[in-house]
Formats: sequence, C-alpha cells, structure tokens
Amino acid sequence: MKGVVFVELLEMADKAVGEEAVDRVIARCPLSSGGAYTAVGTYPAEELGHLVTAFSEAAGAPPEALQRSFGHWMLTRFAETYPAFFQAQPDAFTMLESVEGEVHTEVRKLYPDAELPKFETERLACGALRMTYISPRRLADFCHGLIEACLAHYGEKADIQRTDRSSGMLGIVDFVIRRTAA
Amino acid sequence: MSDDAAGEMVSRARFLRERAARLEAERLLEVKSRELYDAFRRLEADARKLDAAVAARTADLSAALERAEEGTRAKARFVANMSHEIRTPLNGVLGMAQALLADDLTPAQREKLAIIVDSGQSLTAILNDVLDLSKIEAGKLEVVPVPGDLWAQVDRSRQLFLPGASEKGLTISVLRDISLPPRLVFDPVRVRQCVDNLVANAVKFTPSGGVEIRLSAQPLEDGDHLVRIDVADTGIGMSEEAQTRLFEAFTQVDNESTRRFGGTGLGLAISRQLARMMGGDIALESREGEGSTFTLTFRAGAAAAQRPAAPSAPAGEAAGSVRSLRGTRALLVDDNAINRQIIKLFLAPHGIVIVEAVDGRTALDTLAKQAFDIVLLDVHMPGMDGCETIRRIRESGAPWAQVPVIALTADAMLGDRERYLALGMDDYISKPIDRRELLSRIAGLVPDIPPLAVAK
Repeated sequence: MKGVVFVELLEMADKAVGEEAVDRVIARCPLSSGGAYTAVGTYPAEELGHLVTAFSEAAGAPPEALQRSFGHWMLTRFAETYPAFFQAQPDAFTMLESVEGEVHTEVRKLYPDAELPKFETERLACGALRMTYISPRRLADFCHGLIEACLAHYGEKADIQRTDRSSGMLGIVDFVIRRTAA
Repeated sequence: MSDDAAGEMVSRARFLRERAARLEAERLLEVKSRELYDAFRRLEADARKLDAAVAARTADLSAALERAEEGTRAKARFVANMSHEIRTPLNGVLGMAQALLADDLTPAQREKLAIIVDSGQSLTAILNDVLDLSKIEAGKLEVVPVPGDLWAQVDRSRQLFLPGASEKGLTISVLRDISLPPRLVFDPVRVRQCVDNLVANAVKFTPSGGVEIRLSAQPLEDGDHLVRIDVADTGIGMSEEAQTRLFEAFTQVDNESTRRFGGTGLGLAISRQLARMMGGDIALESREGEGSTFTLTFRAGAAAAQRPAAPSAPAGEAAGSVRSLRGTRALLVDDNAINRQIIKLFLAPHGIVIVEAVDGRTALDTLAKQAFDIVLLDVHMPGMDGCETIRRIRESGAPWAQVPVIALTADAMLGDRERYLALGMDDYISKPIDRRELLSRIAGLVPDIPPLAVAK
C-alpha cells in the first residue's frame, strides 16, 4: 500500500480526533513502521486495516463510515496535490473513466512496483456510468467515498447503487452512478 | 501522551518545520522520480532507434555480403569453365607432342618437342594451382580421411623428387620417429599435395646439401594424433620480412625469385589452407643463407586393426616399372575424336587392343557383346555421360559389372577424385593425360597378361 494513503489517514485522524488520540491509537496498533509513514514509501496493507479499525473505535463510528469519510478526504487532497488530472477532465464521469488509463499510468511511472486496484467503467444505455472496483484489498467503502467526493468536486449530484459481486479472495464491487439533477 | 517521547519535548514550531521539510522532500522525490522516468523513456527510445539503425546496417551488410559471395561463386564457376576450355586444347597439344616423341625424329626435333611437352606440363601445373585455390576459396573442398600408412606415402614423395634432387647432387632422406603409429586415418590426397609442395620447394631452393623429412606424431586427448612433418633443407633460407609474405597467394620472396625459380606462388598458400582444413597448419623457421624448416601439422585419426590394402593402384607409381600390357583389351569411351586419337597413339605401341565408343549407350552395348580388361571412360559426354554410364555398369548384374574403370576428365579440381571414386570408378586421370601416368594406372588395374593374348 502506498505511503500517501497512510499519511493522509493520519492527517485526517489528527483533524478528527486530535493528535493525542492519534498517538494513543498508533501506540496500540502493531505497526512495523511504528506509525512513521512517508508518502513515497510502501507499507503492509494490513496496517491500514489495523488503523481504520482502531480509529473507528476511537471515534465511535463504524469502520465503513470511516472508510467513506476517508474517501472524501482523500479526493480533496488529490485535487489539491495533483490538480492537473482534474483540470484535464470536464466532468465527474470522464474523471472516473480516466482513473484506470491515465491516473494509474502516471502513478506507475513514479512507482513501478505499486499494487493498484483495477477499475472497469462502462456507460450504460440510460446515461449512467458503471464503475467496477476489483481488488483483493476490500476497500469498497473507501472507493464509494472517493466517487461521492469526485461528483461533489465537479458540482454534480448523483445516485450511487452498489452491488457486491466479490468471489473468493477477490473483491469485486459494481457502482452504478446516475446523475439526478443537472 | 507517549512516555518515551515525553522526556524531550520539541516546540510546535519545530515540529511543523520538520513536517514541512518532510512533505517538501516527498514532493521533490516525486519530481525527481518523474524526471528519472522521462530520462529512462528517452534512453529507451534512443536504444530503439539505435537497434533499428543496427538492424538496417546489418541488413545492408548481409545484402553486400550476399552480393560478394555471389561474385565469388560466379568467379569459381568461371574458373571451372575456363579450366575445361583450356584443358581440352591443352590435352590435344600435349597428347600429340607426346605421341610425336615416339616417332622417328632427329635429335634437334626431339629436343624442340621435349620443350613443348615440358612447357605444356608447366602450364598444366599452373592451371591446377589456380583451380585448387579457387575451389578452396569457394569452400567447395572437402577433406576425405581414410586409413593408410603415412610413412609409405611420404616415401613416395621422396621417390618422386629423388631424380631431380640427384641431378643437383642433393640427398633426400625420410626419418620416422617412433611416436608415429604405423597406420593413421588421414586424407592421402591432401597430405600428399602438401608434402609434395614442401619437398619440391626445398629441392628447388637448395643448391647443395640435402633435404630431410622428419615424421612424428603426438597423441591428443580425443584419441586423434597431431602429426608433424618437418621438411628441413640446407638451402638459401629467407629473411624474416620475406617469411611474413610467404604464405600469401600470388606472392613469392621477390620478383627476382620468380625469374630464377619460376612457379605461381600459389603452392604454399594452398598447402597452408589444406593443412588448416585438416586441423593443423604450416609453420616456417628459416635463416637467410642457412636453410629453412617447414613444419606441416594436421590431425589424423587412430586407425583400427590393419585392413587389406585398397585394390586401386597407388598414385604416381614409378613410371619406369610399367610391366608389359600386350594383349590388354581396352574399351575407350569418349565423344571427342581428338582425345580418342591421342589415347590410341599412347596405348597402341604397347600392344593394347582398343575398341572405341562415342558415348555411354554405345559403351554399354559394346560391353554386352565382348569382354574387356579395362574401360577408359570420359565423364563429360552428350547423351549418356560418364557418371550415368558407370552407374549402369555397376548395377548391370552382368559378368562385366565389375570391370575396372578409369575416369577421364578435364575437371581436375581438387575433390573431384573422391567424387568419381565414390561413383564406382576404380581410378581417375585428369586431362591433359600424361602417357606414362595412363600406362601406369592401367597396369595397376589390369590382371596379369591373359595367356591367350600371350599366345598371339
């Protein structure tokens, strides 16, 4: 898992529960990194699971909700750090469609060993977009949050229908996104 | 608050400063990574361009090489054709001149005729050298090793050059080291050619003293032997500078040598190429005024238990020893009337009875009707050629299927001999045909004089 995810999670947690609570959570979790993360590093994916579980307990919120909020946070941060990707796309659908082919391609240029999830997109007849998240990491809620925030970034309103088609070790989740108001 | 960090507190400002520095370092690292990635891609693109350029250049070179090789093949074909064209008239000139020698002539006429024969034979030798080299260069020469007695073979070279050496008051001796096995597997034709060349040169360039041929062998790890033949003379020797140019084709020590000693300058180049094809080489040690030692090395296989000697007569048997061939019945097959005329002139004085045939089919018909002791078979004939004729003779199942056959041809390039023997010929003579050589070859193949013929 790329370090930027850990760095941003701790950043969000600082804001949400305060630095002291974050320090306590980190001290409690079995983290090989000791909780010292850098955006350019790569860390074991289970550490993210430990942290999400611990923070949801600390915040008194279910982990699914926390993942989703983290998706919102993350997208905002991406838009700040890498504005070029967003400026290149006119709306949320084209932005979501460009993740697999363009954004991930750029990520691989910087981090050739990055293990990225796979996204498949398809425009449906009714004008909706289906985006399928495929990954062994099971971070569908985080994804959900990212999609919601992406729509918000472009000022669009939409209804998101989620279907879990996971099988075995592999998480497969369909998001069907329908714009609700122009 | 974490206990271990509690001991030494840092200020908020210091913490924020460190944090900002880390974020900046991460940002810089991404920028650098991206630059590195772009540089790498440019390098890859350059490498692809370079690969393409190399591929294009390689293709150009292959095409050029192909053209050059085609040129070499065309040259080899031209030389082979020229060989045939030159040999046929040369055969006529030499044959008729030799036939004339048998007539009643004045001493002055005989001397002039001897010069014609001599010059013709020199021309033949030069032609052979040029053809050999062209065949080697065209990669058409094959080494054909067979079991044999190397010492006996080298001694035949000694016998060949002994008369010429004796005239100059030179001795030729062959010394055989105990390390040389009695029988080895080697190519007798090529080895003979190399040894003859070295001995001929040694005799030619030695005014007094002698030539010593030393034979030895060294067993190799793979069971073969590395044979070493030293040809040492007490001749004029040569400078180091001259030694370096000696093995190049068409090169002699200097132009003065060419005038004094003659030759094409191809002999050593050919011999060295042959030696290398046989897994060896020819080396030279020489001092001006003190003589030279040429060392021929080549690989020879270990021969199995001794087998009976091959039925065919050894090449270059001493011409003086030809026994009487009176009454021998020979079938002469050649489409060229002049060639037939020459051979008749050569053989008739020895009491050999000749029946002529103009092609293979006539020859087969004639063989079916009467018995022969020997067949002289031209290889290149219109209609049924010599190769087809020998095949039909050997496969006929007739009483005459195993009649001895000597191939006659103008294609005297190295390697042809093996080809003809493989076809079922018993021996092979190249045109221009030498009278004494022809008689010697016939004597080697024909059984003793038939009693009926003697009665005549």
